[in-house]
Amino acid sequence: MSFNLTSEQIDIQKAAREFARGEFTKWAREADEKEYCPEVLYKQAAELGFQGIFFPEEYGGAGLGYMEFCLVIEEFWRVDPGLGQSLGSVVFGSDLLLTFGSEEQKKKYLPPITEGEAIMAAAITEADAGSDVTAVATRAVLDGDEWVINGTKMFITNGNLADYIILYCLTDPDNPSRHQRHSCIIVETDRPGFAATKIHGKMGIRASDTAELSLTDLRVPKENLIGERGEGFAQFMAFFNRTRLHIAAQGIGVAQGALDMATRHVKNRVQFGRPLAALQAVQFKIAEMATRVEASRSLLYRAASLADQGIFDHKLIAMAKWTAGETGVRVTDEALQLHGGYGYLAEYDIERFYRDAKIVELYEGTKEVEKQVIARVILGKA
Amino acid sequence: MKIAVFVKHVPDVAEADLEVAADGRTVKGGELPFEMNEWDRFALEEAVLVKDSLGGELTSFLIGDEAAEESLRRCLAVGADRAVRVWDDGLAGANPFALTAAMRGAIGEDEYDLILCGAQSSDDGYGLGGPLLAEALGVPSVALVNKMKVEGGKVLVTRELEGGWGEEVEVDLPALVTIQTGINEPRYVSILGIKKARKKPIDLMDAVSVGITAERLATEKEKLSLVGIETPAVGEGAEILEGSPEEVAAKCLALLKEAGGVL
Amino acid sequence: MSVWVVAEHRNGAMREVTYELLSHGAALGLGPVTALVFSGPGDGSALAASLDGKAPRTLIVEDSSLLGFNGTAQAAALATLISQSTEPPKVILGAHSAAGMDWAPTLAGKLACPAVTDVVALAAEGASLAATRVVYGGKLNSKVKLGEGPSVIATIRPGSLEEEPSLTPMTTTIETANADIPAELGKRFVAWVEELAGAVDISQADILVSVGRGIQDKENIDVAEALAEALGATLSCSRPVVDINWLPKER
Repeated sequence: MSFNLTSEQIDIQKAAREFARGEFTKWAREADEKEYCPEVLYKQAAELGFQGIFFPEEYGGAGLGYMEFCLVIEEFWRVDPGLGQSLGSVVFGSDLLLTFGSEEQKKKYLPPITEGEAIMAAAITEADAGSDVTAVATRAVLDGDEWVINGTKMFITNGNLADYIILYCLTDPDNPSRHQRHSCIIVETDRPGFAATKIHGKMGIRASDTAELSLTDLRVPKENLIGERGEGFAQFMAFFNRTRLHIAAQGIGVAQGALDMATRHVKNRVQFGRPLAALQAVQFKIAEMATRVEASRSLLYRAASLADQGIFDHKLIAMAKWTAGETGVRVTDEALQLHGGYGYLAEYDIERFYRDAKIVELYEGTKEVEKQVIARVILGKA
Repeated sequence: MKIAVFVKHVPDVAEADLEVAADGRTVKGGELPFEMNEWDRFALEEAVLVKDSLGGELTSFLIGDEAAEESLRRCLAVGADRAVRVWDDGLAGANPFALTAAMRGAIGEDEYDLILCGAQSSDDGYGLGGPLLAEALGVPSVALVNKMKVEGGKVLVTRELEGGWGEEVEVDLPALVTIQTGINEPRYVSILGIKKARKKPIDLMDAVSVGITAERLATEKEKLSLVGIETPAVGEGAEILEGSPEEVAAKCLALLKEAGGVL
Repeated sequence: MSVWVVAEHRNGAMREVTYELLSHGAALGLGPVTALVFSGPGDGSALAASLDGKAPRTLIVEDSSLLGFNGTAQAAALATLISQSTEPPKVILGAHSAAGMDWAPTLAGKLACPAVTDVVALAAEGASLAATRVVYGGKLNSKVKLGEGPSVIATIRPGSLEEEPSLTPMTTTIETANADIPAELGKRFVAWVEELAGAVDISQADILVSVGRGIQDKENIDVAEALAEALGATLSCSRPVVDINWLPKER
C-alpha cells in the first residue's frame, strides 16, 4: 500500500493548481456576485484537458481515474469553490453514461464534453422528491418510437447551460418494487417542450448555474433510454457512488483553501503586540483544522484509489463524502472566526468560502443520507 | 534548429517564513514547496515558441537531485523533446562556477544553435550561469532579454534597461540568451502534455559522464564560497497599519509627517 | 594593488551609480581607484569629464564596437587591458544593472576568475573580498567569500551605499588606452529603445510608494497611487505586478 501520489498525479495536481490560481482569482468575486462563470474559463479548462480526465481515451478523455479527477477538483475548489463547481460539473452525469450507456451513446455524448463543445447535467430532484428519489413523479411514457416526458425538476446544476441532461423519470409506476419504477433518459435541451428557469439567490457556489426545469410533452427517441427500463434507481445509486468522490474532493478543497487563508492571516495579523499565530489558542485551532483536512483527505484518497481498482466501497465513499462536507463547513467556520470582523466582509475571500462550503453537506445526498448509508452497511436493515 | 534550455528547481519562498538551519549555511527545508525558477519558466516558453515557429529539437537540461526532476517533466510536458538531468552529490549547494562546469559538460560535443536560460534564479540570484556557460562554449551571449526574434542565422533581441529604456542588440547564432520575466506568457501545463511527457526520455548524467573531476569541482567551488546566511535584522518598532485602504493611507501619511523630512 | 571601477553611462550621460561605485572602490582600501570609461569613438572625453576630481585616474577606451552598450565588447576590452597591465587590478567593480548583468559574468568567464554579483556590502578580507548579498527575495542575507584571483569581479546593487557618495576632491589623470577589441564579436548594438515617453526612473526618486503581489486587485493600485501623490512620491512596483500588466515596466 502506497500513500504517495505518483509523479504523474503530482504533475496533474500542480497543473490544476496553477491554472486555478492563474485564472480563477481574477474572476472569483465577480462570478459570485453576478452568478455566472465566464465562458473563457470553460474553454481554457477543456483545452488544457481537465474535462473528461477520467473518460477512456476512445471517448476523448485522458484515460485517467477518479483519483486524478479528485485531485483536480480539490485544487479548483481550493482557489474558488463557485468556479470550481462550474468547471467540475461540466461532466456531471457522464459517470452514469460511462457505466450504463451504450457504445453509441458514449461515442455520441462524451467526446464533445472533453472538447469544450458541450456541457452535461443530470436531473433527479423535484420539488417533492429530494432525498427520497423513489418519489420522483416526472413521467415518461413510450409512444411508438418515442418517449413523451412531462414534469418538473428542481435545483438542477447546469440546467440553463447543458446541451444534454440525464433525466430521472417515472416509467413503470405499476412495478411492485419502488426501486424498479424509474428509468434514465438522455434529453437534448434543444428539443421542443424543454424549458429551464435560472434559480437566483443561492447562498454559495453562486458562479455555478442552477435551474428549475419544466418538461412539457417533450419527445425523445426510444434509443435515448440508458440501459434497461426500470433500472434508473440502481443506476443512480451506482452513479452517486462515483460522484460522491468528486463531492468529497470539493469539501477538502474548500477546507484547504480556508486553511490557507487562515494561516496567512494569523501570521500577519498583529494583536496585543504579537502575531495571532503566537497565541496558543490560535495554534491549537490551526492544528485542529489542518488535522481535519488531512484526515478527510486520507479517507477520500483511499476510497478513490479503491474505485480506480474497480472497488466501489459505498460505505467508505459515504464516509468520505460526509466527513469532507463537515470538514469544509467546520474549517471555513473556524477560518472565518480567526479573521474576526474582517472575515464578515465580502472584501475577504473567506466570507465567500464560508457560504460555499455548506452545499457539500447538502447535495449528492445530505449528510444524514450518508450516515444512513454507513449505518445500513454496519447494522444491516435494522 | 537545435535548441537547449537550462532550468533550475528552486524553493518557492513567496509565502514562507525562512529559517536558517543550525549549520548557519542552509535554509530549513521542511515544508517549503519547490518550483521551477520563475525566470526559467519564461526561458522555457520562449524556447518552445522558437521551436514551434522554426521547427527543430528542444533539449532541456537541469542540474539537481531526483526531486528536481519535476521541473524537467514540466519541460517535456510543454514541448521539450528530451531532457537531461545532471547530478552528483558534489554538486549539492554548488556555486554558479561549479554548476556552469557541469552544464558545459552536459552539452558535451553537441552543438546547439540557441541556448536559453533564465536571467537569474530566485534563490541566490547571481545571474552568472548563462554568460559563464556562453564563454565556456565560446559563443556570444546576451543577458536580460525581454523580446527576441530568431531570423536568418541571427537573433535580434531587446534588452531591458533601467528607467523605461531598452536596447536592441543583434547576435549571431549559435548564441546564448538569458531571459527576463514577462517576455511571454508561459503556458499552463495540459493533461495531454503530462501524459506525453511520460513517454519522453530523461537521461541521467553524473560527474564522470559530464567530465568533471573532484579537483576541477574544488577549483570552481573555491572561486565563491558561502560563509553563512542570516535573517536580516528586523527594524525596531515595525508596525502593521490596519483598516480600509483609505484609512491605512491616512495613517501612513500621518506617521511619515511626524517622522519628518517628508512634505 | 588597485581597484578598477567600470563607469556606467547611457546615451551620453553618466549614471548616478558610477559615483557610488567610486565611493565603494575607495572604501575598500585596496589601492588607488581607476575609473574606466568604455565608449564609442569621440564620446569618451565628455563622459570622463563628468568623473573629474572623483578618481585619481580615468582610463578611456574608445572603439566603434563600444558604441551604445555591448557587454561582449566591453568584457573583451577589459580582459585585454588586464592581461596587458603589469600589475592587474585586485578588484574590478561594476554596477549590478542591466549592463553589469551582461559584461560582468562574461568577463568572469573570460578570466576564469572569482566573481560575485548583486552585492549590498563589500569589504576586503584576507587576500580577497567578503560580500553581503540579499537572497531568497530579500528574506535572508548571505555572506560569501571570494577566491583569491589575481583579479576578482564584484557588481554592486545601485543605491546600497548607506550615505551619499562622498569623494575627497582630487586631481584626475585622464589617459586613453587601446584594447584591441576583435572586429567580429558576433554581437552588435543596434539602437536605444525609449520604451515610454516621459519615462520614470525609480532609481532616481527620493520617495517610493511600492506595490507588490500583496496588492491583490488592480483597483487597489489606485490607492497606492493616491498615497504616492499625497506624499509627492513616485509609484513603483515589483516584477510580478509588471508581468501581469498592472503597471508599466519602468515602475
